[in-house]
Amino acid sequence: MLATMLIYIFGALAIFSGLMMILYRNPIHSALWFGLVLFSLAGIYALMQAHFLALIQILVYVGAITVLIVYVIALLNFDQRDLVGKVTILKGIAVIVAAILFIELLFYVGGLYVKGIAPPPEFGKAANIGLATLTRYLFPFEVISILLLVAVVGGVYIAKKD
Amino acid sequence: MFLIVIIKILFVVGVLLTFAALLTWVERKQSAVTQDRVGANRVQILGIRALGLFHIITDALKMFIKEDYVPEKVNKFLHFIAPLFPFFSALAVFAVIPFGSPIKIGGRIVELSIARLDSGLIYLFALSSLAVLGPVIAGWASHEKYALLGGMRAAAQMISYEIALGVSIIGVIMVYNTLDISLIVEKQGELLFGFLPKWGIFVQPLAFLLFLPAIIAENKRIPFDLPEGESEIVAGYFTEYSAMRWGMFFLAEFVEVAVVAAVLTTLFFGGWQFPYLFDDGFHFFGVWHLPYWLIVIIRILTFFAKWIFGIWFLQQVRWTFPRFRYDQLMKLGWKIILPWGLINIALTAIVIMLING
Repeated sequence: MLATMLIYIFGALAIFSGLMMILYRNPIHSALWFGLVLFSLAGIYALMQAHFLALIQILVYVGAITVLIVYVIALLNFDQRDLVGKVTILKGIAVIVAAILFIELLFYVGGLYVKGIAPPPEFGKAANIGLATLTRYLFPFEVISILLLVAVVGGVYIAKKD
Repeated sequence: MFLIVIIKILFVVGVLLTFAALLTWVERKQSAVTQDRVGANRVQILGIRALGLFHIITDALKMFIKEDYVPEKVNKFLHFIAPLFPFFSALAVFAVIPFGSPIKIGGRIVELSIARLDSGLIYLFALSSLAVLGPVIAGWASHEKYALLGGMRAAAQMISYEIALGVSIIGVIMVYNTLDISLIVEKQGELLFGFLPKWGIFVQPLAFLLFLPAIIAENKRIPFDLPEGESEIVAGYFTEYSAMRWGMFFLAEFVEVAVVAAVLTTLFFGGWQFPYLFDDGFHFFGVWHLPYWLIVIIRILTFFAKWIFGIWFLQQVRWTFPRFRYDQLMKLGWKIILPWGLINIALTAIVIMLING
């Protein structure tokens, strides 16, 4: 009962802070609202028995990524008036794509809800995630590590150029 | 069940805040001893000075009745919430630290930690990583260059050292083969070669040497206090804070000292384990049976003794070393602790492979 209530609270918080994130003009505020979105997602993961995932979400996204975003925005020192953009064709396309994605997700998640899939009891334990990463999902795991390596090398290259 | 959790939370928060208050006095007295001075001794009640302990009360009074000055151009809301992040994250981290062995009350086993989590170690890192938001938001919201510089320094330092911290602890996870902190402490009660307690510092000495500087750096105290380097940037991220809001940062730092000492105790000094004391009594040249309640009390006192030693040690570090230069700080984190942490992982893996055959 409490868990169901908390899921609704975290869900509402995620949607609210997501809206605030795109509605605020000040990028630092947006970044902090983004942090709250990620935090409430972590709450939802925790209520769905994925404790490890929830904690990693807080550790990586709230504790590191949000801080880095705030760090970069604070260092950029831009003029706020530059952020008020004009309506372009690209933005129109973005809105259409976002709408399609939203409808797709609605159908997909709606389907799951009707089926009422309950997680197995061993779901979300750190040991199982580690095992799955190193056996069944080894290839995607390695590919992602190469992707991250490429990003790091690219970052070093850009930093070294001047 | 609910009541037990509430009692445990009140106990832990009470102990942590008491320690934080006492630490303001310890800080002064220990610095005085280190520097061959007398230290705080002026406050007296009816002629009783109590070694300057009443300075705690006057400190609190001063912080509450001082003018809480908020500069005009600061972002009011963010300026207000920033000190809450380090304070509450430090308090929350303690939830997974076991301060005694599980006790049996009327057929029910009560864990002496607020929560026993399957991934307790990750919880510890996750919650402590939230603390960095405080200095960053404070630095930005203060609308002042020194504060911003301090906030930026704090962000860069804490994120760098979080990586060093995470890498250095993996060896410990491999040795005890679990992320559950309570289980890590239980496994530290075993004996190595029949005489050496299997404490973290004995089975993972390199991890301890890497973990210690990294966690002091997370705490942002000397020699890692660049975010508030007085000689360069006034007071860093809390330059524009006064009265109790500044007091929150100040208290958070001391709560963090207590929590860091508890984490070191738990992961590297055996937590509540007293050497050679098992569930049925001492195993030291024969078995010396002890009553159950005595063992429980000895274990809780052991934890507190180790914890207080850890706090004393951290304070001594703070008053012994000079501040790092910024490039030295980054070099230590990225070029020394991180590679040695990776080496430690490889070495630990090889040793475990050899032992298991």
